[in-house]
Order: sequence, then C-alpha cells, then structure tokens
Amino acid sequence: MNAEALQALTPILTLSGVIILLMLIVAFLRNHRLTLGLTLLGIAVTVWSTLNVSPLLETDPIAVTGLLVVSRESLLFYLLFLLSAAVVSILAFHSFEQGTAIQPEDSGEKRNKGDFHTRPTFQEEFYLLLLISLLGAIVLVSASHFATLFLGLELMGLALYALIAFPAIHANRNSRSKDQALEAGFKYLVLSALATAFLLFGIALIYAQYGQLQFAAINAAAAAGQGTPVLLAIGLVLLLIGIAFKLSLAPFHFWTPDVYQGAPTPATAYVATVSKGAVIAITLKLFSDIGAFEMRAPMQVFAVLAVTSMLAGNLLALQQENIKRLLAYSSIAHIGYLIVAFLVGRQEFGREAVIYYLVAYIVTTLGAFAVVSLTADYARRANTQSSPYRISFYKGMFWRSPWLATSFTMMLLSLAGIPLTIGFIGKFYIFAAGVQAGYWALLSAVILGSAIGLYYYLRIIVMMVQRPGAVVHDDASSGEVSPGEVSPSAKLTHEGVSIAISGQMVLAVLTVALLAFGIFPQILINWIQ
Amino acid sequence: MQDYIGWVPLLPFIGFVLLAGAALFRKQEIPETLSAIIGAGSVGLAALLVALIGREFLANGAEPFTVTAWQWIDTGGLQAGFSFYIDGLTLVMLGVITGVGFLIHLYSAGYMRGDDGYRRYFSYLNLFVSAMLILVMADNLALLYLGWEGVGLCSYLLIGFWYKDAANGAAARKAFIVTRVGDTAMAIGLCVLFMHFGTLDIQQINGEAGAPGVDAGIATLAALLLLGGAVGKSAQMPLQTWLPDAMAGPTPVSALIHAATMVTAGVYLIARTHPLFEASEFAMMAVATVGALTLFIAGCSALVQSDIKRILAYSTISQIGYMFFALGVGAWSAGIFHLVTHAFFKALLFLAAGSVILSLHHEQDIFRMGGLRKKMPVTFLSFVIGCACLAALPFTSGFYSKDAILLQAWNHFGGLHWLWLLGTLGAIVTGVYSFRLLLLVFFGKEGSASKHCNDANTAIMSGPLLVLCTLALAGGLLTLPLAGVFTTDPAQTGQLVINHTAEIIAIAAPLIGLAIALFAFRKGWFAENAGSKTWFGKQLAPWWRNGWGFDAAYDALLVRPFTGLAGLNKSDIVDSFYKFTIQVSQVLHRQLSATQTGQLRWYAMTMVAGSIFILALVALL
Repeated sequence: MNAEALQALTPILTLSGVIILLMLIVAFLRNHRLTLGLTLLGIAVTVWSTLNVSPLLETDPIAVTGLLVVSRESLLFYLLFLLSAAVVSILAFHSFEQGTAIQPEDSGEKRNKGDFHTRPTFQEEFYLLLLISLLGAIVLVSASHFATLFLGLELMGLALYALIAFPAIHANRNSRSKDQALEAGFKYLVLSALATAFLLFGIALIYAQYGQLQFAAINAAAAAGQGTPVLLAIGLVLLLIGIAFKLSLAPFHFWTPDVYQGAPTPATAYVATVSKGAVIAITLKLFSDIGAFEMRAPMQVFAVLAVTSMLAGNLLALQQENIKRLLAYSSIAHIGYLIVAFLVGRQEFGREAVIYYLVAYIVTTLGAFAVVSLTADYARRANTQSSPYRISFYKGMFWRSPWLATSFTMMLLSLAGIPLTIGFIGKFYIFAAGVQAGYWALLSAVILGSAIGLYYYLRIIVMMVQRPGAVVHDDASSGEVSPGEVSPSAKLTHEGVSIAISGQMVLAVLTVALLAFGIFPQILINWIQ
Repeated sequence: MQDYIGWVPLLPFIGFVLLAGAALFRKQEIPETLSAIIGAGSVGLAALLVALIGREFLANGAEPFTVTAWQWIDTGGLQAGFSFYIDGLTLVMLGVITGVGFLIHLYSAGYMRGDDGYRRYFSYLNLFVSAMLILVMADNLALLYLGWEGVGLCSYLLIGFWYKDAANGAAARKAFIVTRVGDTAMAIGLCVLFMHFGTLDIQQINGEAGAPGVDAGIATLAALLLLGGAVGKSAQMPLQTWLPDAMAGPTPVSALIHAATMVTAGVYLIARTHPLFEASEFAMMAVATVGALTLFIAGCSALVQSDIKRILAYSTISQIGYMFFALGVGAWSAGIFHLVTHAFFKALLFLAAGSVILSLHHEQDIFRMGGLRKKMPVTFLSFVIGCACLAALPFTSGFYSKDAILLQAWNHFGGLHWLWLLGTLGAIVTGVYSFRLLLLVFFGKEGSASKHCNDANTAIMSGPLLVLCTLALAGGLLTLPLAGVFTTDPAQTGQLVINHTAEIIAIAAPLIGLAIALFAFRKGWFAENAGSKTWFGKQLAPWWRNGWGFDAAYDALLVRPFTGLAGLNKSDIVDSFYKFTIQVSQVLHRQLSATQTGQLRWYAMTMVAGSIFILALVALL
C-alpha cells in the first residue's frame, strides 16, 4: 500500500479514530451535550478529510489494496452520508432531551418529564452506534471486493439493529413502546439474517464459478469465457434478493413499516436514508464493475421488483393513518422509482439520474422525518395525550406552528414531485432516463404510482391547513390501524411551545437545499458529473 | 414633456400598488384620508401631466408621436411593445379619462367615507384608470387588449364591490360573462387581423386597410368581429343586458365606468380602427344599425323605469347608441364629440344621483322622491343642467354633439332614412325621459323618502359637481384636435353641407320631448300607477321596463339549456371512471394492508416465497 492509497483512505481512518476516541470518552465521562458536540465535530473532521482527498482523484479512482476503491463518486456519497448522520444526531439529541427516542410510540400512560432523567441512561451509545453504522456505510460504498461488501453491509446492519431497538435497553421501563422497539429490532435482525443468507449464497455461487471475489476480476473472467453465465446470473439474482430486502423492494418490504414505526424516529430516518443510499450506491457500482447491466436476468428481476414496489408502496400508503408507516410505504415506492433510472445505469445519464434521485430522496426523507421527530418532541413537551404519530395530530398544524407545517409541506410536495422542489427534478430525471431507454411499461407504473402518491401526500397537507376544530370529511380509514381520536390536536394547549433552535436550523437547511436544488438543479448536477 | 407620457398610466398604477400593498405591511387599515390622497392624487397628477403634454402637443401642430417603454412580446413574427401612440383622438380620451376620472375620485372621497372597503375602493378605481389609459394609448392591438381586459376586470371588481350581498356578486358575474362574449369575438378578430396583415400595430393595419385594393371580405370579417367586442364593452345590442344590472356598484363607479369612460371603449376602438370599417360598407351599416336600434330601445326602456340609477343606465346605453350611430354614418368626430360631452353630463348626472341617493339614505325609487329642489339646491342645479344636456336642449353641450350626429346622418343617407328616423324619434324619447326624471325627483309633491332628506353634499362632493356643471354647459364650445385623425370625415375636411330641414327637426325634437314631458306631468301620467289599466300600462310598459325581454330571452335560450346540459352531465361516464379508480385503489389498499400482519414468521415466509417467485421468473424468461 503506497502513500497515495493511505491518503485516499483518510476519511475511513479518521472516522474510525473518532469512534474509538468517542468510545473512550463515553467510558469515562457521560455527558449528553458533550457527546453530541464530539459526534458533530468528528463528522466535521471527516468531511474535511474527505474534501482533502478529492484533489487526488482528479483523474482516476485510487484502488486501496484489492478491497477498496476510492473514487470521486464515492466521496460524494461519503459527504451525503456524513451530513445525513449529522442531521440524524441532532434530531436524536432533541429526542433524548424530550424522552421521545426511548419511547417512540405513545403508550397513552402518564409521563413525567423528570421521570426519565432521574435514572441512569445510556443515550451516549446511540451516537457511537450511529457512527459505527456510518463507518459501515462508507466502507460499503467504497467496496470493490465481495469481502468488503459483506463487511460494510454487516457493520452497517449490526449497529443498526441496536439503533432500532435502542429504547429496549431501558430495562426498567415496562411499556408497550419498549416492546415495539425490541420487536422492530428483532424483526429486522431475523429477516436481515435471512436476506444475508441469500446474499452469501449468491456470492458463493459466483465464487464457485470464477474463484474470484473482486468485482473487476470476475468481470474479466466472465469476459474471457470462463464459467457458466447462467450460474453467474443466478448468483446475481440471489445477491439481488439480499439487496432488495435492504432496499425494501416489494415483495421483500414487509419489515419496513413495522421497523419504521417501532424504531426511534432519528433511527428511522437513518434507516430510510443512509442505509438505503449506501446499498443503492454499492449496487450501482457492483453492477457496472461486474457487467451486470448487460445481463438479462438480473435486469428483468429488477424491473419486476420496481413495478411491484411502486404499486404496492403507494397502494399501502393510501389510507395509512400513522405518519411513520406512511413514510415507510412511500419510501418503498420511491426506491421503486429509483430502480427505473437504475436500469439505465449503464449509461452516464442513468447514473446521473440515480445519484440525483438518491440525493433528492435523502434530503426530502430526512426533512420529513425531521418534522415528524420534532413534532413528536414538541407534543411531548406540551404533554399531549394523543399520539403525535397519527396523521390526525397534524390537523391544523399550519395554525399552531406555521414554520414546521411549511417545511413539511415542502417535503411532501417534493416527495410528490411537484415543480420547484428537488423531488421534481429527481422525478424528471427518472422520466428522462426511462424515455431514453424506452421503458414504457415501467414509466406507466411510475405515473400510476405518482398519481396515487399525490393523494396521500396532499391529504396530509390539507389536514395541516384545516382550521382547528373544523369538521373534516375524511372518510379514509386504514385496514391496519384504527382511526385516532376525534381531532386530538384540538385538545392541545401549548401556546408558546416552540421547537429548539438547532432543530429549526436543520429544517431550514434541508428546506433551503430542497428549494435551491429544485430551482437551480445545475449546481447539483455539476457536482455529480 | 412628451417623453413622460408613460407616466400617465403609471401614476394611477403606482397608486393601485400602494393602496393594494398597504395591507401587506400594515395590520390596520390606513387612514381614509391617506387612501383618498393616494387614490385621487395619483389620478390628479396624471391629469396634470396630460394637460401639460396636451399643450405641448397642440403647440407642435398636433403631430402624432410614439413612445416605446419596452418590448413586451416578441415571438414568431408577433411584436407588441408597451408602446404608446399619441394623436388627437388619444389625447381627447386621455383628457376625458384623467379629467373626469379625477373629479369622480374627488367626489368618491366624500361619497365613500365610512365604508369598510375605502382603501380597496380606491385601489380598484386607480387600477381601472390605469387600465383604461393603457387601452387608449396602446399603439398595438395586443396592448389595447390588455387594457381592454383590465377595465373588464375592474368593472367586475367594482360592480361586486359590496360583495356581501349575493345579488351584487351575480350582477358582477353577469357583466363579466356578457362582456366576455364580445371579448371573445374581439380576440378572434385580432387573430384574423394578425393572420391577414401579419401585425397588430394599429397604424400599420389602418394604413393597409385604408389603401385601395384591400380584401373587402377580410375587412368585413375583422370589422364585424371588432364590432362584437365593442358592443360587449359598450353595452350595445345585443349585449346590452349587463349595464342596467351593473348599477349594483357604488354610484361614483357607475359614473366613472358605466357612463364616462369604460363603456366608451367600444366607441374608441371603432374610431381608432376606422379605416378598417370604412373599407367595408356592410360593417359601417352594421355599426349604424346597432347604434340606431340600441338608442331607441334603450330610450324606451328608460322611459318606464322607476329606479333613478336604472334610468340613467338605460340613458347611457341610448347615448352610446348615438355614438355608434355616428360612427356608422362616418361622422367620426361627431361621435367622439358626443363621447366627450356625454362623459361630462353623464358623470354629472350620476354623481348628482349619488347625492340624492345618499341624502335619502339609499333610496333609489323615484316615486318615493319628489319636491327635492329646495332641499338640495346644488344637486338640483346639477340635475337641471345634466338633464338639459342629456335631452340636448339648444346651447347645451349635448345639443352641439347630437345635432351634428343627426345632421351628418341625414347627409350620409342622402335624405330620409329609417335609421335617421329612429335617431330623431330617440331624441324625442330622450327629452321625455330626461324631464320625467327631473320632474318626478325635484318637483311635485314630496314623496315618502323626501321627508327624511338630509343633504349629504360636502364640499368635496359639491366641488366636482359644480366643475362638471360648467363643463357640461360649456363643453359644446370645445374644438377637438381630430382633424389629423379622421381625414375622411366631412366635418373635418370642411365639406359639411348643412341641410336646414334636418337642422330644424334636430333642434325641435328635444323641445317636443320637453313639451310632452311637461304635459304628461301636468296630467299626472307619470304617476306610479297611472294608466296601468291601459294597453300601454299592461303590456308595453312592463316589456320595456324589463329591457325588451332580452334578459328573459337569453335566460330561456342560453342559460337554461346550458345549466340543463351541465346538470345532465353531472354524473357522467368520465366521473364513474374516476370513482371506479378510487374503489379499485381502496380495495387493493385493504388487501395489501391485510398482508402486513406484523408476524415475523409470515414475513420470513413471504421472503422465501418471493425468492421462489423471482427464481421461477428467471427460469421462465
């Protein structure tokens, strides 16, 4: 390993160093605020080192041993994930301060604010786990070898199980929400294990053919005519099943709503953005390195999964009453859209579309979950009895907290793909890519899905602008969750309760990014190119 | 000074922006006085500017000039700028709009005092003046159309100004929709002109239309379509039905929009494009026929109304009919002259009517008035002068203009013609209804409402009334700088032959009307229920009162079938498609939701099943 390769590795090394340092500090000094500060500082240092690496890569990516490749594209993902993790940690901080993180779903029982702070807590570990998972994501997107791919994926995943089930560590707390978190973590663990089995089997099949685990080497061997192409295709399809699980593509999506709902909202935001983004990024890389874009079977499987995801995701979200489940279903659909562009990933334009849509999806989803998280926090502070995760809770929100409602409206419009938002440009890219490749059936599924999507996004917006106390003619009711109490928001008496400044700033940054990239997409396009 | 012409429409527009924008910056209403100063002041400044520019214009020998503010549209051969063409005709219009407009603004400042929408009122009024100025200054038809629609919008806003009463909203919609029929014709006319001449520049079109060898068919088509727009905006047959209902707005609005300025836009349009009309014999005849029929029909309707504002509304329709008649017989400058004098005396009459209405606590029924001459001297004076001008008694301003129209019509037709007869009959009718109004309101016994009369004229209201009195009396002495505009008008070229028979008849007609009115008043024929047993009272009067049944006919022929059709289409096949979509989505949603059981074993099983499905797919494909 030469000096250049070592330098290319600095972001990963920096982040690892930060993790070890933070672990040591937490071991001796537990201070929530300090931990957040150190986490953000660590992320900032890693961002700085990432930016320092970038001049090295003007021309070619740098291969670090046979396991990792650092390219400009992977640096873009580094930055994206690092910034997302920063947002997630700020949200987590507020959640812990309000106690919502360890009690994500309202149990209806009486709460005392002081109650939570009197007993020893382990909230600092959340940031540690977050950083470890982030390290996994970063390793994953730079993988050029199946071993690193597996390593990154599992590093990311293992930390994630703990993040999802985080409220469960408060063993002396006997509530439904704790069970729910534990259940969510456990479901994710078991199903992930199953998915990983598929993944490993796929890798094994490929290895059996070529005796190679490096992407480029496999491609070279396949091009040289070794092995059986059919087995390579089947190996890739099995691999794809593992990936589809992580991306929650239908029909491997069943865990998504339960996990999204059970996990603390910041962890949900992380699962929805970084974890999925990293998998998309590595899949894109794997497919182009290994030449899978030329193979029929995996592409067709992907196309089928895209269609089922778009339709199932949107249909499931249609009358959903729980905001976190709704966003879960919507994310299923969004990854479905993304796959449409992914199918054109062989061409430069397709890659661009995938990355642009991914950025749009991450910015918007983070924003949406930020609103959900902050809303829950303030509902907690206002000590409301009704669940802040019900859509009905958002009724009249525009009149209570116009700022939150406005940002949420922006996020929802972006998710729906309305012009002037980043989501529109993203969807436009998808269409352009799809039209270029002539995927008419897929595009009609995109249109159908978007039309259904508009209904449930707009429904929330309509809900938010209704005057509190107005009679609602909303005949929607979900088959899963019984409708909430009548207009719980009417009972809210929290004049003067405001959301924290840093939370507002996070929202402001995300909203501005959403609008800025929606109105001037060229800035982001230039970065991607 | 001429370079500053762009400020003429801009000043009222700035007034509008300030007044409308005030709500954004202040939670409370701004003081009424400030609204009035911005509203009236901006128009006053514009009037001053017009006066200065006009003086310079006349000093320079009335040479037309063009000022371009900026290029507005430049696409596919269509070029339209915010450019203004100023000649004698435009200047006359500018003077009327800003001058009379300013007086009406002043009057409004007193009239509207205490209204909740004081600021809103002046903002609309300013926007209206701005749009109207753009309309008359435009050097191309696209910009003219902008102003045209702008005044339509303001008219809608001001008719429905007191929107809390549903009837006012209905009147506003009616005005908007009926004029829209004409506007559509006009828009098509613009397209025809653009297709044929390749430009919308008015002077170019005029030049080409005036040149020999122009396609008469195209000219007729375009002229008739423009006439369609003009009859809509100017409330002529068959689109006159909106104007009487437009009286739902505040009275000064009726004075400004529905008498003095906006409704004359149609007259202006035809005068502005007169070479096009002259190129088509048929179009000219159509204009004259529309005008003559309208003036007679509306005059008869005015004769039997009982609402003071409706009488004036019908008289407006009738007087604009005279203008159209004048245009149709080629008496261009006489038509414009009548437009100017009409603006003076009709604004005067409406404002005076406003004073009456306000003084009688919003009573508009003339049968409950009477004997007001002692109680409201200024208003009485205004009404006497206004009615005399309206009836065209000798030596009032209305006399000079109307006389010129009838005389030129006689010459045009070369003797007796049924249209000329209609015009002369109309003059008699005008005399009768003018003095019927005057006599019933100010003479005779006090009506029930007169007893509570409380002269509401303040200085700011009396002032404009007196100025308008002077203008209405002396307006006939004005010489309009139209010689350079209407080169084919005999009155401008000095070829006007004066036929003494026609002259005498024209002078006599209003006097006959006056005599009839006095006689009938003596006999008590004007009383509320007089002659209700006769054929006239039973059949003719109600028919005339309802505007010759046009409303009822349109209701039966257009509105009912349309709403009927719309009702039939209410639950159409397209809707059921959407309902079906919703149902399918809901069913699918429920079925898919049922798969989210929350059970881990089921989830694991679906994953395995999904994998088998996908592998089977690969095997099959």
